[in-house]
Amino acid sequence: MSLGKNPKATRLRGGWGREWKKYRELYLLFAIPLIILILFKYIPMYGAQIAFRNYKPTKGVLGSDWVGMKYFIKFFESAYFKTTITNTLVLNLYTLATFPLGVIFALMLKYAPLRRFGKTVQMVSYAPHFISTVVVCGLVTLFMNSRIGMVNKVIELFGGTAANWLGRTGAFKHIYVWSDVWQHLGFNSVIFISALAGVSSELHEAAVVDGASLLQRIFHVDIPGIAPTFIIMLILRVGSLMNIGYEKVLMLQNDLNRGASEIISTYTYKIALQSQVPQYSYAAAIGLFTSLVNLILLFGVNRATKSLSGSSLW
Amino acid sequence: MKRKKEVVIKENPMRFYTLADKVVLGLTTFVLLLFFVVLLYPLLYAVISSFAKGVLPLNLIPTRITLEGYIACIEYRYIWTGFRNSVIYTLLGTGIALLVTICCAYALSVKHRLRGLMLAICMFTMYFDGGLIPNFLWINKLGLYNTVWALVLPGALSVYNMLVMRTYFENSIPAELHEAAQLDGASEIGYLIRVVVPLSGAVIAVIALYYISSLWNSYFQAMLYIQDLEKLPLSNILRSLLLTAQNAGLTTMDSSTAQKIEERQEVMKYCVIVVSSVPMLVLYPFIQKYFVKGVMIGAVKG
Repeated sequence: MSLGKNPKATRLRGGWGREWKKYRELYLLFAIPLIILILFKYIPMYGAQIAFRNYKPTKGVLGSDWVGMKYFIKFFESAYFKTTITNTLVLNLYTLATFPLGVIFALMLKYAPLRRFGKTVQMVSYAPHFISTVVVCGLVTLFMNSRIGMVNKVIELFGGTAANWLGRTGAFKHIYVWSDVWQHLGFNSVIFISALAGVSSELHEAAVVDGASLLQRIFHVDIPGIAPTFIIMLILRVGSLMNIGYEKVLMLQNDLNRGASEIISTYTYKIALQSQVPQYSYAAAIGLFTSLVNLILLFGVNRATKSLSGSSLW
Repeated sequence: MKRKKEVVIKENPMRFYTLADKVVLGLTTFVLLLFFVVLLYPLLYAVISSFAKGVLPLNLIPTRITLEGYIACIEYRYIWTGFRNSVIYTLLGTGIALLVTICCAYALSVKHRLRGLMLAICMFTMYFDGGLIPNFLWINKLGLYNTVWALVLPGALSVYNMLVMRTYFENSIPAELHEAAQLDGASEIGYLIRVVVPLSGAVIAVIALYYISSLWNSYFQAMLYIQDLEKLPLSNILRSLLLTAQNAGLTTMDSSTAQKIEERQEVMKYCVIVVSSVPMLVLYPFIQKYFVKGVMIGAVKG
């Protein structure tokens, strides 16, 4: 992932006139993406200042009164602050905890004794990734149906009792996380599979000659070999810790499980776009708060891993 | 890539393994088998359910086969308009996104003075976002509400996809070609169109597929910006069929009537799921290797 700056910055002689003459077509090419970014990314960022204003649609962004941190303080003091933050963190940290499964799955495929079987599992494991979130959520609700859902019938088969699982606050996080694992595990492991294929085979040979067991080879050759890839993926994942997956949460949410499923982004959506009296500024303040926390997390994790292991995004 | 993998396999024959290793491998096989079943079973259950009358038993053999779910789908008008809209939005969106992405990736693949600045402008948007509400207000202000443009323009540049493409342009197209073209007096745009694009078929296919799958599967943008039922893409039609108003009022009925109603709804739901997933599932065996390739190109420098 080349997310850093070019180490060998080219030194060009001559002034800007010459530069323009030589590269004007490139600058023209860049104008197209630049317009898109300005229109749909940078202007909304500028518009995010409504978080500090009492936004009235009739007055516009700049015409609305400046109220400073009012809406941020309102959020910190509201009853929803603790619930939404807790739920967001629980869902995301739980998802993050399943992240190493991608590595384990890749290792299992690498050492699967029957090659054809391994290949088949690998190919089938990508399939759910191509199904849309809407369909996955639809399947989850169908399977969880308390009367005729497939999951409940399996539970009854093994002697358990059927229940309306989606209506239970305690079950929500498990449903959310494990349906995610089901959908994305195979595809998320692709990058580790390719990293494993790049681990030096001489190291493996040497380990075998030295009498290393399979597990020893995995822990001392494979895992150190893919650690940099793992760390980069982990940083990227942590950087979006606060805002991942709200489309899915929104669809799995119902009145019964709201206590566990109301996260920051669904709450923002609700108070601004679903309520009778849209609280634009308040919602924008919560959104901005989330973006800032993400940014801080990303920088923090990046710095931490850089000093710990030397791998970093930039 | 492929050759490398083969070599690794040949160096892991069973004879190197001790008894303990074989136990580990046996466990591995068992867990993989279990995972395989868990992956495939829900998919099979959904597909077979769409043809089954009544609730499908767990052994996946339906008591009676019926097509009434599919007939109900065909008769439901908005599935057709949704399908048509999804195809249009996906093709239009992918076309625009590819144009923007190729221009950006090429402008960033050549070394010049402003490259660092351009890269920073792009990368910043990956890590910071104005948020849902400012975006929503601005897009409405632009007059894009209830138009296709609100769906295809905001996501026209995925910086991540652009970086994957740039990596490919930088690493896989020989710099000599650029020099030769310049000597022959080709302009940058001419070089891009006549040399770079034809040589980058693989990466363009990968990125196109990324955009296609994200546009086809997206529902949130349309939920925010599209008001007319006629203009909604399939995902949103699907969402309203599958997830809204479910179980409403059913709890008050006696359980056998409720069960019958639920069963009928259920069949249609499974049919809608199958119908909407068919395009991707048909394409999937052909495209999955490209998706994988895309991940690998993106990871080249990782």
